[in-house]
Amino acid sequence: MSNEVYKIPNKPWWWPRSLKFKLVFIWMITFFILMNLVNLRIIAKSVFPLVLGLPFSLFFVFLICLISTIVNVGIYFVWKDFVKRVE
Amino acid sequence: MSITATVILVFILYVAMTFVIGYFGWKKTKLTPEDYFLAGRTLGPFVLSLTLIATYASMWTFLGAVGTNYRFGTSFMTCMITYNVLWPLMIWVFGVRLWLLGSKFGYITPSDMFADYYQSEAMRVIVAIIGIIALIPYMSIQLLGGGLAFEAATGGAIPFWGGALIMVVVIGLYTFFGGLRAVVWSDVLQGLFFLVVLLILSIWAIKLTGGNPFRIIAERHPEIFDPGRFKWHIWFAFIMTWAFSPLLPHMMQRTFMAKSGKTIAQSAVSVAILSPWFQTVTVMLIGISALVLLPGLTGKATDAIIPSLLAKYAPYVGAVITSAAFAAGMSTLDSQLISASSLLTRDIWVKYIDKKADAKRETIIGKIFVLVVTVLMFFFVLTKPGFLVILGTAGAGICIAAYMFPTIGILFWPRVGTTAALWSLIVAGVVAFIAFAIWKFPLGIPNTLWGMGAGLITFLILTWTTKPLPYEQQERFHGYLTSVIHGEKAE
Repeated sequence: MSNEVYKIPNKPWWWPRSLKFKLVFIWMITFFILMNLVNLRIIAKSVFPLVLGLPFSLFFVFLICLISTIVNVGIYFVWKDFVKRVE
Repeated sequence: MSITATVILVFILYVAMTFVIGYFGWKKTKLTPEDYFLAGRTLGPFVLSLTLIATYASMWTFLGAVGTNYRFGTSFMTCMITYNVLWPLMIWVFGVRLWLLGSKFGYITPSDMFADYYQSEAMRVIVAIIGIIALIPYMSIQLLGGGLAFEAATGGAIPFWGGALIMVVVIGLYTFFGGLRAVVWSDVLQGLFFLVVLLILSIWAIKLTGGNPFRIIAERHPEIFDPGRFKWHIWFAFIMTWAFSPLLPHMMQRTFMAKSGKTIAQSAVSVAILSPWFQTVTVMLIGISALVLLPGLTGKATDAIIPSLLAKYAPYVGAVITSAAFAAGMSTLDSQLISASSLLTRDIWVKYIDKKADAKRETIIGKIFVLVVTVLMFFFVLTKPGFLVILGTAGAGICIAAYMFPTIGILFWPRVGTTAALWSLIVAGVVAFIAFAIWKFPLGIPNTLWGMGAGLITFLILTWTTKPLPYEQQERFHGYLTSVIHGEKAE
């Protein structure tokens, strides 16, 4: 174990520091809220019209999950400097 | 050749492959705890991604989740895809930090980390006990599913207990000899096999329906697409459980095994694609197609949809698919087994009973615990406990509810002291256990939410009213994490 001393920053631990991570954080919270609203039958509750052969509610769910997957993958590129540090 | 003989032949071939892997794992593994339990922290991105997905996607996905999609329609799918989008995110949030601490301080079990940060041996023991108690129902669903799959695929020629026994013997042997290397290498084989089979099966099931199953079901049973069919409080509990699955002991240990932080990052990317799109959507497609192909199933019969579908439409292919179900179960069970063994060995036996054990002796004790847990599991599962989905989620929920708040203290919030962490661990674990084993789901609310609620209240009150850890201790962890994550220099 090293004897290096690291300082604890005096910043809120739950709030991302960079703008890109703030956007990731906000999108993921939005995604979670949207999925809850779908289950509560507040949004995207109709079966018809079928969009690309899928019931509308399912199409909507797939769409926001696709965006979230892109965000999840995008974190790798947003956090590139960290990935380099721990290579 | 009869169907039963085909099932057995395919399974023997499959088992032979896992034994070959087990043999190489055994040849390569040194008799040290780090090597036996963590494969010497050498996993690269390919192996880590597949062991993560194979461990996460259990027999439950193959049997229980298909059945739940059938019963609840796409409402359950929205639940499943939500947590399968969120758990890869949690690898970014928790996994990267866990790896940083695991590699810096040499942790082997989660209890090592909890005890070290909070400077509490009580924490070590309670974390280990909760981990073991929670893993028991979770492990049992793998065996339960194995028995069901064998029984359905052979038309009852191999009874439920026979299938479970075969599974127990195979896993027990390769885990005993090959340790974690055998486990993760077989996970690669099992994970690939499982994902490919799910993909092929979903395409085949759609073709069998003779068109677009969504259109057929939308016309016949539009209620299947009602997004609120799966009740919100259960829907929410499932998400809160599985989204935080990287906090389960065997998943947490996977983050300790990575060769580098970059490996964790690359694995997070892989599972972010595989889990929602290859694991969730395929399962949903099979469940929806089964509504057209096997209408009218209810209760436990829905847990055997895939074997039943194959028994009806392609009995010989069923032999291969039964092996895929076993693959799904084995890849989860072996990881849980070795994790439970490491908790029993390192955190209880060596700490309190055999304090003088050296590395070699500790590894041998670990191997013995692998066999002991395997046998206990087999007898537990002969009682055929509960529905696959409920059982797995309830077991995992106990552990996640208990581990969540102390982990937040270690990884994110320096203000959290030992008293707050210890009591939130105990309260969340006990409440989640009672709400499952004694008073089942009070007010219809799953045990995960009861445990998390009770744990959160305890955690917040005690964090603000009791002493934090000494500043030097906070600095040792939080300062280090900040410096690496944000690139700030040490002094």
